Amino acid sequence: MHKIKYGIFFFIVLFQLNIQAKVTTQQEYIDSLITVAATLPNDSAKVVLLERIGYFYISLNPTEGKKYTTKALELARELGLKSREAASIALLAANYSANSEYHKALQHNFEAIEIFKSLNNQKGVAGVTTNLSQVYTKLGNYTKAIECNFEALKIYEETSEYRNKGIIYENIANIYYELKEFEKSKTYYLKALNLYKNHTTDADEARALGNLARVYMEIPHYDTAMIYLNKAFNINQKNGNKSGALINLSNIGNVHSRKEEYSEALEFHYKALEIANNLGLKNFIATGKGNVGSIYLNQYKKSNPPNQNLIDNAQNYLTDAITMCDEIDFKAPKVGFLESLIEVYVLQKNYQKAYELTNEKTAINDSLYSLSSKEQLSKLEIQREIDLKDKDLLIKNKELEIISLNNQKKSLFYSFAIIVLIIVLFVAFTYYRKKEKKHHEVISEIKQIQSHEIRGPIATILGLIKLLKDKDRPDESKREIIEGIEETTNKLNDVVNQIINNTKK
Amino acid sequence: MKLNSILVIDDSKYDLFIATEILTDYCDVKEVVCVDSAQKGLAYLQSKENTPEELPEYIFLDIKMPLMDGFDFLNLYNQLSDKIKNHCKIYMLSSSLDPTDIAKAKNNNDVIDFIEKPLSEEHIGKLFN
Repeated sequence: MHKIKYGIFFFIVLFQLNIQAKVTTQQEYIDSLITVAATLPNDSAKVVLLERIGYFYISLNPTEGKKYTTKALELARELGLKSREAASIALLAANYSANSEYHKALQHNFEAIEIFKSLNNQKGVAGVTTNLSQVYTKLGNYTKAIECNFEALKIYEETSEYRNKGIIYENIANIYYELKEFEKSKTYYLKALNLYKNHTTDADEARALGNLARVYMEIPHYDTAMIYLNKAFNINQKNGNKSGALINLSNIGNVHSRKEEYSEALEFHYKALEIANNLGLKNFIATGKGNVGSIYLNQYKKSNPPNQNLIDNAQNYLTDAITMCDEIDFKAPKVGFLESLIEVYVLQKNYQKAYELTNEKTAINDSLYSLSSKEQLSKLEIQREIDLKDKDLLIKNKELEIISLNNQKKSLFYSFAIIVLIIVLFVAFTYYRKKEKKHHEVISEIKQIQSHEIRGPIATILGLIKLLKDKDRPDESKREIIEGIEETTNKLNDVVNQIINNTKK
Repeated sequence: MKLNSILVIDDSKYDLFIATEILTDYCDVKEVVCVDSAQKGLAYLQSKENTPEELPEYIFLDIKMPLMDGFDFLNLYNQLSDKIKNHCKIYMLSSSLDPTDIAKAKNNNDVIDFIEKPLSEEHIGKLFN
């Protein structure tokens, strides 16, 4: 992390949805579905259509989405369609999640899982469990999130649900990335890639490659990161996925930045900015300008004699970036930009301005970190993107899949397929320390879980032994208890072996 | 003092067996009901809402369970009707030695006390006499 004390690099990863461009098409599409739904009789096709409407509303307008999903649920119950009932409940959970009502989301996911279990519908269980993991991720409960991912994986293991498996691997990799376990994160992205290469469209491959590159940037292994970014960029360009390509270009610029190759970095950030302007994507324009400004600042600091042009450029771009952030209420990166701009003013000896901006920065920091820093940041940036990923998995699950309207479905697929991460690098030491502290907390939480895994079986064995000692029992009963002791001891043995293997690593 | 029923919620079949044996041997209860998930526990309680005389007087709740754990159960239990909540007394039963877990359990309004596994005759003596 970081040679750059005051420079700020924003790493944008993500997000393939052209929100501005697609919104009208989406709303029109939804309206057409609503019109059709009104004409249908109360049968299973109508349930499915109402679900579909609820699903598309998730990113657009979760409140409307809840309305339609609830209608679907009531109709499903009326018609006694258990499987559709479960699907509607799961969709309702996704709606609650999109609206940040996480405990309701958890409850509904649990409910849906129970119904699918009672119907012995394993794929349904797996699909909802994957969504459950994403809610836990949003809540910052990484241990549970990983647990859910592995549960779902168990079910998919025997099937050929390659894409779903891949998405779970990506989920797990994302979590390990947050926990800074970069080797594990890498392993899982590679697993996902392996599945995507042979079984799905290359859009998934491009997204996973981009994410994998992030990990290499952290290790750091810049050459490898560059290779993956170029691969991802080529695929996205070929597919006409402009926002994906934009993200790749930005990240390539960032790798050059880290290597202090500033002119190359500028070249790529300018390319990315051009695309962002064409698409009118304000958040990318803001971060793009911020990136460019930071690079000019770094160039200025290295220039000898000091080149006034460079610092003027830095000031202009950073100021623009901050204005844009205010326009769209994009708090998180704004802090980083402010830090850079403060440095610009300090270097120009404009202490008054520097002081004003420092106050502004502190105010934002306080509001941003009233919760745990990691969770809040994750929520701010990851929110929509992970929501869209939820929907991605919902679509794929056969139980929830509906009529295929081919063309629109395809373009919506690209839009909805995402793994998003905006990594904001904050250079201020206090921020860095907060992250470290949270990291340690999470690691120790995982270690505690492991001690439960040991104590649990031991308590069971002690209990069973006591039952044997306390009173006389028929042979049959004694044998059952002894088998129980054996089974539990073996389980304990496995756990201990696993821990030994993990600590070896 | 004859108890109507006791509900035990634990994902481990052997722990359920241990609890059943101890409870039937050392206290005077008509029926020990075992469920292997928090969700099923909630469903069971809700199913007895209109026949409160059939509700369990005591609930033994494990903490560590997959998907929905003991604390998740308590969150949702808290939203059940008072008819149910006033009738049942909850003991948290866990192999956890984690002081945070123990404190969290004791702090919860619906939990009477925290008991460390394995459940034993001594525990029963203290609880019911």
